[in-house]
Amino acid sequence: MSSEHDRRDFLTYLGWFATLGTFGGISVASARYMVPNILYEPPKSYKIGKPQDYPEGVNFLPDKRIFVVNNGGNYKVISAVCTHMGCTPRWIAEKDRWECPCHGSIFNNKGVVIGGPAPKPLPWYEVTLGSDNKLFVNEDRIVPFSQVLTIAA
Amino acid sequence: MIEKVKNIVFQNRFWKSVFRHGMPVNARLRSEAVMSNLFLHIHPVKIYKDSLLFRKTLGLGLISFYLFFILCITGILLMFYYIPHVQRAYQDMKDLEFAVSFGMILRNMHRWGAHSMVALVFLHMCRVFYTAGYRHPREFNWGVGVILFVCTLALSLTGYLLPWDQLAFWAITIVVNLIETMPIIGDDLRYLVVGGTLVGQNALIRFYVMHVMVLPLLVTMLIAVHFWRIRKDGGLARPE
Ligand code: HEM
Ligand code: FES
Repeated sequence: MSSEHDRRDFLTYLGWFATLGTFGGISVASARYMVPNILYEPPKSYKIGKPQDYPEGVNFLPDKRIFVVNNGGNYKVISAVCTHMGCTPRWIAEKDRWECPCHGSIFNNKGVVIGGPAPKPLPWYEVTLGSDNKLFVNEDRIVPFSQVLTIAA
Repeated sequence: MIEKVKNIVFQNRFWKSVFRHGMPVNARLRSEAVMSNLFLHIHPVKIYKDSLLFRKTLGLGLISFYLFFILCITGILLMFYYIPHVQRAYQDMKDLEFAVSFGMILRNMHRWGAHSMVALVFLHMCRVFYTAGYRHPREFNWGVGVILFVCTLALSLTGYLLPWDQLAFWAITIVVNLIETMPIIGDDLRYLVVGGTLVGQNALIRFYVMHVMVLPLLVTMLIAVHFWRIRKDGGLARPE
């Protein structure tokens, strides 16, 4: 009698093992499948043309969502993505500051928050000059306000 | 310890509202468990012994159903990466094969499942024919079956265009030109199916919508009717 039982128990466990193994495996594989390995998003570092393309003052690049600031041949690049909820702040030249249209955040000409709900300053991105004489922005490198790219006229 | 966990899981109002019977530990509770479960009660509680024999049906109908189920699950997963655009579709198929984790096995489950479904539905039809299962009172269910077979072929055809490779493009070109040879309505029907005159973006999105929405919904409804009718027609056909 006991051997009868042993066999039935064994087959029961085998059945559960196979069932759970199959569905468990499929579930894990499907979950992993949902995590993409390749993204088709725009790169975080890119060229934005020659310094001479950017006249004195604050220039907005809508495609890249950055501002290129040219201060007498000193170039700087700042993010145009509000640190609150990601709208695009506008440069208000008369007031020398950025104002966000969504919830009223205000950033001074250094990118520092001086009003509204934004929790952090707008980040300045590293900008360098390539050997092809084109400006190269790297959004993965945040630089202090003091860092500028000076181009001799 | 195990008893305690069992108590917490099974001895509460929620569990008992889902499963009205207790643990299926004896024959009576087992039949109750089957009877009160939508997914298990394809057969009635009382059934002719003959109808359960594997050699009577070869399980072909249920295998077709399981294949359809697998195709729905894998198809929905494929939809997360596949974009029905002439410039993206083929690229997405290649990404599924080479860049997405487990994409290759999912795509192939869908593809082989689709081929198998056509074969199995056809074999099921043959079984019903050779066992004279189409006779009174089952004529209507035979009719439902024929539509299901046509829908399976239509799913296969519409799915075949989606990878947008050479095989897909020329296969569909041939099919729509075949449609054109129909008398009287041929030209107009081809225009309608392709959504224009050339096999292009309009054709791709038409085939895609048919493939992932219209036909699967239709098949799901027809399968429900098909299964329900088996019961209403007094179970499977058996010798008089
Ligand atoms: C709800 C059910 C289904 C959904 C959501 C679905 C979805 C898809 C999607 C997104 C594709 C494109 C990706 C690919 O080509 O692999 C595809 C392809 C395909 N499907 Fe389906 N499908 C379903 C059911 C079926 C059924 C029932 C059949 C046939 C019996 C079928 C046959 C095909 C075929 C032959 C392809 C081409 C496969 C390939 O070339 O890799 N599909 N399906
Ligand atoms: S998003 Fe800029 S203030 Fe809210």
